[in-house]
Amino acid sequence: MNSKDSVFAVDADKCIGCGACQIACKDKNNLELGVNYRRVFTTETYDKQKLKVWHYTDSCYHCRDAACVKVCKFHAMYNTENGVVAFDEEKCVGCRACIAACPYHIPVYRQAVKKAGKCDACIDLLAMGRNPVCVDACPVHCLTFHLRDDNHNENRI
Amino acid sequence: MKIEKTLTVYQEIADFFAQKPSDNQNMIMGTSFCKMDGKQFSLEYDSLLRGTDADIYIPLWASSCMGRGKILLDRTTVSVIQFYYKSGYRPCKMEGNPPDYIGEMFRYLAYLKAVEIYYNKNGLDHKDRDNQRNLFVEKYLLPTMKEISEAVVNAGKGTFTEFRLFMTCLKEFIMQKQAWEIWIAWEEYLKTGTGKERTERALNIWKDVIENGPGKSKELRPAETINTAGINNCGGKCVIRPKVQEGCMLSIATDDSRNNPQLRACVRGRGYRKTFLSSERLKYPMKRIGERGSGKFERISWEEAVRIIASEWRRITETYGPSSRYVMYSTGVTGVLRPANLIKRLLKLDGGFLDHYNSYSSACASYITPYIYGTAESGNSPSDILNTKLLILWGHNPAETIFGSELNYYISLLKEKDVKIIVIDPRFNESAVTYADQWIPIRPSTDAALADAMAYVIWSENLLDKKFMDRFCIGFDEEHMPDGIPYGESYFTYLSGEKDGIVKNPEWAGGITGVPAETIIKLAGDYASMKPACLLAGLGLQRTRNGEQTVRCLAALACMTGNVGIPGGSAAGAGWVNEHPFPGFRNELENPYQGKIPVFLWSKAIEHGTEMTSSEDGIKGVEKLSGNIKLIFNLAGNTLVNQHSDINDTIRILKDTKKCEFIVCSDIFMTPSAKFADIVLPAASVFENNNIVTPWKGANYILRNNKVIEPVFGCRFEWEWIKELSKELGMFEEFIDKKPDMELWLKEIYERYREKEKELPDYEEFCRQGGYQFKNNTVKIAFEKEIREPEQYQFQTPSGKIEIFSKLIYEMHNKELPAVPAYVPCEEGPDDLLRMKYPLQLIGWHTRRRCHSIHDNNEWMEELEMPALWIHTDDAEKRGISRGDTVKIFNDRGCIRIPVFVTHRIMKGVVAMSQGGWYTPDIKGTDIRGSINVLTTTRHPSPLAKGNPQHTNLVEVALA
Ligand code: SF4
Ligand code: SF4
Ligand code: SF4
Repeated sequence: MNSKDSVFAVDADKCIGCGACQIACKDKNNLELGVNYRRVFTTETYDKQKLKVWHYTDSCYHCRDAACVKVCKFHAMYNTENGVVAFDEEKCVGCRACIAACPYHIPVYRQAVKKAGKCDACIDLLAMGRNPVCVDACPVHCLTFHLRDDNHNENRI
Repeated sequence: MKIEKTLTVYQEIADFFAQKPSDNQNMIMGTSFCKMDGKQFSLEYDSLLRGTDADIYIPLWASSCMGRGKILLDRTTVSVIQFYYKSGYRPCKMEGNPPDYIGEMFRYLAYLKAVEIYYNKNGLDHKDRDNQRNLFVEKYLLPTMKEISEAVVNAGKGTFTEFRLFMTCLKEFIMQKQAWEIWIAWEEYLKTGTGKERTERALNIWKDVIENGPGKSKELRPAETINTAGINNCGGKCVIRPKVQEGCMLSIATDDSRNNPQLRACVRGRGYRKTFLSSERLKYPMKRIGERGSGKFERISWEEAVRIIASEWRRITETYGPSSRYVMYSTGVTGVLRPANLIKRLLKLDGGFLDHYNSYSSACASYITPYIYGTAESGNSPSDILNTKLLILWGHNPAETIFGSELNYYISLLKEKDVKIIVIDPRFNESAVTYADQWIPIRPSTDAALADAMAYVIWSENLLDKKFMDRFCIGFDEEHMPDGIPYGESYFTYLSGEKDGIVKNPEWAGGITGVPAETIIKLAGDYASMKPACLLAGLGLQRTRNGEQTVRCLAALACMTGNVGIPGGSAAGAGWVNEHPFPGFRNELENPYQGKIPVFLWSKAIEHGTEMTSSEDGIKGVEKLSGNIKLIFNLAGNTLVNQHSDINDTIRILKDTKKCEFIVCSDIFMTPSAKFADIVLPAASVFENNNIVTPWKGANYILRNNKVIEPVFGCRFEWEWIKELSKELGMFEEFIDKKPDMELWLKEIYERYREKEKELPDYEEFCRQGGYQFKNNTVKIAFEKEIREPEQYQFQTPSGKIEIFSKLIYEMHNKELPAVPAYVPCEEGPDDLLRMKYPLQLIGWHTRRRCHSIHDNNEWMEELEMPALWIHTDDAEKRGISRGDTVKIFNDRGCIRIPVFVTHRIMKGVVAMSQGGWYTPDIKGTDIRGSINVLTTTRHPSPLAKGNPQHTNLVEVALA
């Protein structure tokens, strides 16, 4: 069950690599310089005279059987009912175990607060029936999010 | 006694930060301050604490010391305010500083001491309060002091070093570790002492607290979301919804309404908080004290600034006449109330000024399109793109430029529908990456040749929409020529090579453009056969030395394929749309001085204004200019240095105060342009003022820019000081036109708009909503009427038809501007012999991370994209350059040192650098920030529009 079972979906065919999601996340989470919970990448390959370039964006996968949750002795990383792997900054002691454990290198160390940090799927917004801020930032609507127990999020715009 | 004395120390420190002491003797901050004379001290003080020196930045606010970079009024500030409120303290905003300003924090400590005295007196327990205080000190005060100490050292000024010592000493003092020993030692060192008198004074300030106890504690006001809008000259005009609490900005959201489409802010909009609430903001009015461009200023009051401007205004007008006064093209504020227009209004009341025409953005396209179609409004509404069967993005990169807030959304829908999208661009740009089914790389400044060869294929292979041409166009073949033109001047004759012996076939174009002949044939075939097809051109390809011809060529293609005036098509050309045209103000004034120059030639008009002519330099309205430019207003703009061409030469001109004698800049940052001002005025940002914003390139909405917070420091929206200036010059009543308040202007213009657009809500509702999206979703198709009912509607050209051949242009007899849409090789194009010396063509592009030069100092954007020079892998290899290297890129005009991005995403022989980086010279004058205009030229404007050829440059690149 430790599969990469993402609740975010990026339609990489549509992503224009604009970075709106990355900056919106940074803004909302009040992050320090050098710290981003969502990153936008552009990758280029050139093989046999063929150029391939694609944009992609990445943040926490909110794994079903999350390594970060298992390894965190202080329960700072925890599962919520609806499948979000949330993070309680108060409990975090900055031991960095989650950073080492995550197979996707998602949690980051925030030097300024001496704690780990990662995407919490904007649970505060979810609780208000809204989308994560990165989802609502995307100018081409290619980034989507659904909770595991609710595949229909029509009520969110 | 100790406690009283501690209070005194805190209060004196707070006082020191709050306001420049009138007397610098007995200063507890360090002996070097005491030794200075009054003037010296004043300069030193302001450069340390009031940001008057362009080279010195000291972070004096807790928010900018938390690892989040240079930012003001964020959540840290709110937390600081929360501490204040909890202990009953009310911040006093020292000279407009945010509440987490270092001085304010010390004043808070003094206050807490006063409370402590009260508690002690009344035998109350203050353990809780002590804990609070310690937490505050640890969380906010000490980190701020630490950052200040570091910055002070970096500033590298001798006197500042002592300031650092003071900070260190103070830190120990605050921490209460051997506080008194340290303090006494310090006082001994200073040979001063906090005497009794001073203690009394300090106690007196807090008398009320000492006697009656602390103020009432107070809860934070809840956060609220305010609807406002972006205001820069950004391709998008978007919805910005900041979350605000206690005058601080917590975060920014965008359009999440059920609007269709939503006007979502792009990456730049999402970074507004970081850009506009930067602690690097200009803070107070200043006058220059070093030589022009040195970045050394002295703080002055608003009154003095206005007085100086008024007196220079009078002097220069009397000596050189109104025509010596010029207002720079500027787009930092593109709401309906634009600073440049406000000062122009005042100038008009007083004899007028030398105006300009054209823009840095679309000079060639906007100027030449009327020659073809009779108007520059040749675009269809953005949503019409959904009707097309083929989209050609020609030199167009909407993924980054955001050409209208909704365009990317529409294109992504097209992609869903599997509509073929072709991107023609020297770079495999971000739009191409996602949208393109086919990328056609092309040499810069040769787009006209590609278009001519496509036209040749369409004509010679009988793909022509002959019916359309016969009915609506003139000048394409010899049968459809205006009277009095000899044989052989038509477009098809040009294509056939009958006259010059050169057949404009794909092979010919292949040699020029670098696009293989087969590709051209296929492209022409696709374009002519998939109807409707939308040829959407960007503006980059007309910011070239031969931009007019390129625009004409693309329009000719649109006609030959019959894509003009139909849904899903496109007439090409400038492509402006205006679904809901905005009215002007009541009583708009005429400029009494008739003379105008092309916008790009202002620097020439400083040196050689009187020698400029209409044929050579495009002077309009007058035979000759009566003088050179002597007075410049540069308000909310960066074309004075950064965005104009040939920075080094421009600086040479500006440095000489005998040439242009007086320069006023108003801006929010010490931009490369502002450094060259004699008077610098701190302006209000997008969050600190009201305005109304219209979309950039047509669309069905208008937005309201609402004031979200009060202006920071001593900043003012331009209206405020221009109003004062009008008083000083005795033109107040005429200037304000019975509207002394800016809101009255906005309301008036809105009501005029509402008279025409009946569905608009009332003004208050409009403001509250932050704008309005029209329900009546007008989709404009350019020239729909002319095509559908030609009997009734003619094109507004001399012939009443679309002019492929232009008699007007023919009669100009300009070698560089043939009467038909022919490709003309140009200086610093790919055929120029200069390539022997400078073999690479350099172009710029609009990066996603900036709107022109705005946001360059936004550190968040740096994490998204660093400045870099794009170079093809083969070109890099030839020069021994590999990934991660830093290179120098140079020509006769200058040199830039910048990291490379070695890639296959750019055509061989071409290098590219995003435009807008802030010119940052090192000691040798090499720019280190990738400011492309170090390498662009002012010498060869385009032939007719005199447009800026900023993408026509030859350079060489080498390892740095
Ligand atoms: S941090 Fe890593 S392990 Fe934890 S949920 Fe996210 S992706 Fe999975
Ligand atoms: S869900 Fe929220 S925290 Fe997670 S990446 Fe998106 S914006 Fe950032
Ligand atoms: S906002 Fe959307 S298009 Fe832009 S980078 Fe993120 S996912 Fe891609």
